[in-house]
Amino acid sequence: GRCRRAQWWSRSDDPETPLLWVLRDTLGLTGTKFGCGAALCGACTVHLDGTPIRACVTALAEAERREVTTIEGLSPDGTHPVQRAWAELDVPQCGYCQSGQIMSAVALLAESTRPTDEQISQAMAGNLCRCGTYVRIRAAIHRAADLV
Amino acid sequence: MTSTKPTRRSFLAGTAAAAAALVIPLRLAQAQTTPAPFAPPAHAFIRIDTAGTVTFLLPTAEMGQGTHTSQAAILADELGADLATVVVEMPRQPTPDHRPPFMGQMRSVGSNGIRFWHDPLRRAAAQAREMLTTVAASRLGVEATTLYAQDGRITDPVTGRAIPFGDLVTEAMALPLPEAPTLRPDRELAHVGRVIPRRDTQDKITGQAVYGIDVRREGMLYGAVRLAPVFGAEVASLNAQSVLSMPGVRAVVPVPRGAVVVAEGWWQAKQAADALDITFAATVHDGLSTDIIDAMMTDALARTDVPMTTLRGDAALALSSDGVVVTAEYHVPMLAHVCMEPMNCTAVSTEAQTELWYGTQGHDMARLILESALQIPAERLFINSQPLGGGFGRKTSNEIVLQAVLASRAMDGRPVKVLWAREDDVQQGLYRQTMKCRMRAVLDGAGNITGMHARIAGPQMGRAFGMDVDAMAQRTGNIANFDPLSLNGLSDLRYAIPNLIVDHAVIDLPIPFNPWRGIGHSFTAFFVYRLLRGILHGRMCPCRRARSAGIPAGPLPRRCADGGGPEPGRKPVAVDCATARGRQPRHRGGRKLWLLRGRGAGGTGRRRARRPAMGLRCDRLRAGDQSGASRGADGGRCHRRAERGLWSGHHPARRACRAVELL
Repeated sequence: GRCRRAQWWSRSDDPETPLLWVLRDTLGLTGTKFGCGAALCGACTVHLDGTPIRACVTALAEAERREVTTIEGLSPDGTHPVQRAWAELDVPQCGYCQSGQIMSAVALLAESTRPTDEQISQAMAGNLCRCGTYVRIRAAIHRAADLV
Repeated sequence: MTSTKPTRRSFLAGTAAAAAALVIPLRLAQAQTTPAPFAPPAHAFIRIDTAGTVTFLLPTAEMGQGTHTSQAAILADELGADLATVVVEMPRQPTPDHRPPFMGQMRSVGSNGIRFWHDPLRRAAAQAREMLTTVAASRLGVEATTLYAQDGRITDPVTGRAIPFGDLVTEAMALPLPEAPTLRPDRELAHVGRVIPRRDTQDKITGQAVYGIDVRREGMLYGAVRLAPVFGAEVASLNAQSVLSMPGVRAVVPVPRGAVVVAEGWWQAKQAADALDITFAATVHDGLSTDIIDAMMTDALARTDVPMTTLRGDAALALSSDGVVVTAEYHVPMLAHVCMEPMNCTAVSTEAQTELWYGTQGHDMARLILESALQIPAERLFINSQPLGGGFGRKTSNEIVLQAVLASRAMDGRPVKVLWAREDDVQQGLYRQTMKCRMRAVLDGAGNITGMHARIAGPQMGRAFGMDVDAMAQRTGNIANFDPLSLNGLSDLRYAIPNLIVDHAVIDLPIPFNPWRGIGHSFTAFFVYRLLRGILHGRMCPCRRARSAGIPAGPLPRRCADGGGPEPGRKPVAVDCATARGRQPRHRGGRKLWLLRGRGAGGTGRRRARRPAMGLRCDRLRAGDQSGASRGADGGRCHRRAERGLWSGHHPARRACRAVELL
């Protein structure tokens, strides 16, 4: 979930290791997914001090003394408004991209409480879904804006 | 209640030694086409233990299509179980009863989940319900027909007395299986046909779902691959020492066409795999390129020795020049499936036992690969099925299981998770095949299409899968050279074009292909509708009357009307390339999807190009199954599957297809 500062330095990871693999393999936070390793698909989106970043291209050293929030840290039980909207509209299909989608949506809603379609397109452009759940993602973001 | 005459089938004890359980095996209608070399006791399909826990063992993998939710709903309704407490698992060993006879293998492909399993599953659930009801009737001293199964209990509506399933299991185990169980009428089905929340949504929005890539085992190591960049190439030299001193690296394991580097973390393994000193033998195909393949297909389009596959009506009229002749050429490229979850498999393997954890569409394919390569007997292989982060047909092939098993064996049976990087996934492909098509249509003075010749040129995937294309032609009423994986949608063209020739100019490529969602329809639908739209809109034909005369209607509009879905007066749009099946509607088991006027739109082309993902908007979509909502068992899923199909069909077509339309 929320990992503060340099707790990881005691571990054996090289500071150049992408944050994604520290989260997944060292810390066991597997909710954050590996999709491309090149910041192209958004499956690994987490928040660094509240800003969405791609963990697959972010070196561990860059996260030093900063707060990382993963999908596990969003809410312990799926009760974050964005998760509730996602459940209400039954957004996921295979679901693999949805952690990243939700983290991007949370960051968007933190920035603008009533995002327009254009803002949603802009903010979510880097998160790919191979199942094509985009229609529901857009609807769920609007719904989450109601719930926040 | 129906007859409960004795049968040789008896109840099987639960798999665990501890708890007794009522176990309903599955009986498929036909004999197996492929005899199984290993036939353990029929696997349970429904298991009810004495604590009342109902477990469904579904043979279809969950990859986002919602089949575990839908099949569990079908079963729970028929059995009278409490859906919320039902446990869904998958069998760990494929057995004959998990193999649909027409496939001969346990596979999750071809949209067969509900289409195939609905009837056998309901029958088994009805058997279990009748047996439990028989016991309850005798205990309550009433006629079984007066009792009702609901929420995991057999209830007497008159007295209100109810007995939980678990209390009836021990006695029910002594009863014979009912041979002809009676299915419940539709009005008693509580979940089927209604929108119900998916079982997996909560896990998938909280990061708790465990895909294959997320599996963790005690003492697990990680493997990254370095594979030959050319199909058919083998390793020429391998210097393991080149990476063994890198951080965390534990071993370099040779595998077919390359090596797996095993390390303490995947990132370490990946760094080492990239740095590995490995060379690959040259092949005669090293110079093969997209341009060369394109040229081969273009040449093949012009061949004069191509056998006719399909003939409808009169060949001379199909090729006639008497009227307005319209020709068009289309081309689709090879496509990588790129499931969001890259290929992976975790294995623990010793001579004594092999255990896998991953998501697959081809359980029996994994078994066959390991039998053939390492002589691992089926009874010593166990597959733990995780949800798939996308499948699309790609995960029917299982080459990665051999890599994972070899890696685990090289590490003395420690768990090893082999994970391909995205670049491995795209480079190693097993692509949807490339294809060119030349369509030629003849229109009469009224704008009716009187003749058509559809020639495709490209690889013949079915032959690579061992199909006898001439025998297949004979079986299906075609003439010769019929590969359904290439020609579905053309050879069985639903439009009433009176004179039609379809043929396939085959080119052989040293590239393995793998079915993609919709298989042949993923491109033949594009060829057909692109041509028809061109004619209808007058772009390709000066005969504007074609618009009003209309393309002879295929079954889609009529079925839509029958299905009670589209309102009168609204014209169904033939975007079958974008239905959930990526094809024209098919009949099987009375379930079929129709789609009305789904359309991708949204902004300018430039905007879409910049934001390919969110650019597709679904303005209006109505979807349902053939018989309305009552029997589809997919309830609200229809809409979502159609949305998904719309995207799957529309997006690659728009972005990847090059078309040349000639007047």
